[in-house]
Amino acid sequence: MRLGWGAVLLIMILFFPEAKADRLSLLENKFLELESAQKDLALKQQEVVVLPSDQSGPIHSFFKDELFIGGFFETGYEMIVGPNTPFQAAEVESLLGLNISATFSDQLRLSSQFLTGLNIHIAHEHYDPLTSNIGFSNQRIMSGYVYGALIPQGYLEYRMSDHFLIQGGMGYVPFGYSYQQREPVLFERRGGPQMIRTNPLVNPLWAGVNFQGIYALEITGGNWGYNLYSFSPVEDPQYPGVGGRIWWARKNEDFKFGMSTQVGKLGVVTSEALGADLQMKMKPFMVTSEFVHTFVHSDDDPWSIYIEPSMMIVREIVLLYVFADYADSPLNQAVFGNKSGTTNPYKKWEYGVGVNWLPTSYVRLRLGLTYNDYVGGSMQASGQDRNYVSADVSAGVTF
Amino acid sequence: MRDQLKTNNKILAGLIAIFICFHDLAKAEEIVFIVNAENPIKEMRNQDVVDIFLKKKREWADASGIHFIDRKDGSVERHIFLTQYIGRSDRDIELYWIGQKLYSGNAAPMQVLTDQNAEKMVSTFKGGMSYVLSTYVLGKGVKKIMIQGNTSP
Repeated sequence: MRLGWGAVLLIMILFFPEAKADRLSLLENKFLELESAQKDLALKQQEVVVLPSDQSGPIHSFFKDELFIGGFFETGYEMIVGPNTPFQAAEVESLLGLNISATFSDQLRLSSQFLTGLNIHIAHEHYDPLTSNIGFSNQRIMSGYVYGALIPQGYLEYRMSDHFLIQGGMGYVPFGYSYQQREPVLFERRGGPQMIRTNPLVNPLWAGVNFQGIYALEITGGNWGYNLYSFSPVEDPQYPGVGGRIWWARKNEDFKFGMSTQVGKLGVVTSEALGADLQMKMKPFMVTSEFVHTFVHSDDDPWSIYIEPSMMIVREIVLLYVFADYADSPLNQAVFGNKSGTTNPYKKWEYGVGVNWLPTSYVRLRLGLTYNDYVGGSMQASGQDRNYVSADVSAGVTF
Repeated sequence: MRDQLKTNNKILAGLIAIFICFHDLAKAEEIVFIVNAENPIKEMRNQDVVDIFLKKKREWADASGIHFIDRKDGSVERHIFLTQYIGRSDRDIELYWIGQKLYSGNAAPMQVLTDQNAEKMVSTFKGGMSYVLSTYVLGKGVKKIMIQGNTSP
């Protein structure tokens, strides 16, 4: 465009030497106007591409809402061996998650997650050889494929203000750190701590309504927030339960602390779960710790605690972690979901060390070693040593 | 002796000149925060900037929505913004948004490349907010706001 107008000016100067200065000035102004219009057009073109969806890219919603799509993929290879556990190795996990969120207005939004996976699980993980009497495996063994698809999260959110929003549907329960952090790429060790693998401690999903809000702390800086929700207990979904959480975080989120609770039916009794969680970051160090105790009004309540310090040994790329993780699960069932009353109680420490390599923020490659140490009365079952060692190589990718 | 003094003075003058040049360069690398010209706000706290960027605060005092416009990764403006106002690294922020994908369904703010586009976006949205280099000459559709409580260098 600039060259075109330049050529026109040149031709006029060459072939019309009598052209007056004011005419040249007029043309020059016209040229500047056109150049300005061209810049505006380029900006508007960018707005047309970017503004309607808030993001550039080839994926758009069918309608006029803003659509976000993302997800994760995790795969893991595990080896186990112990005094009474034969060496076994398998690709134990392939899990794909899809997150879809649609924003209809500043107040109204839909958020969901879809999971599908193919796993090889360790059947009878806390094995008691006596359970073979009732038809279960008498050994800890990597069994056949388990596969499935589910929607663990799907809710409609209405935000009345920053201090109060309502979600209706279901989602991961806001209890501590690991119960609500189900983005595998953010876990330093695959599968997370024992407490989210120990049943029954906390109901893993809220269902019904979830109220939440955030407040700024004027004096100290940072924020505090709350959750209040209902849930349907896994054991007795006909009686709704309620839960709540209150948390506090410093301005840069380098210190977060929270307390959580749940009250709901667990079999014939009403149980109360109480938890506390803490996360501190002081670069290059980070510590995450959580505790949960479920009161079932017996002498032997299930509870769990872990601490996981880590350190970036190569700035923001390679992370080294260690952990100590304890779970006391007196009501553990020999087979998940079994209602025959066959329990397989255990008390177990997990100690370990591992390395995470984050070539980008969106990829986490892990190598972990865990010693599974059964203690107290659960060290041995029917004369067999329950301890075992597991090594794990895994990759988590988020997109 | 006199020659030595002259040489020393020249060196000193050179050092002062270099200091002034670099000081001016350092001064040039500052950002200012802009909002839509119709927005009545004149100043906000650094904590509010953090909360708005992380989408913990999503509305202005009149309950209208905030549309924060971020700058492209790796740009000078974003580097200053993250280090001096947010206090977190680029990677930290990426991990934060990865978590938010599930926690809240929130997505990272839209990013634009140039000061001109940031200004254009903010002037388009009544609830818009962004940041530009302090040397950028602002147009009529936006206005600068003061940030209180920023103690970073």
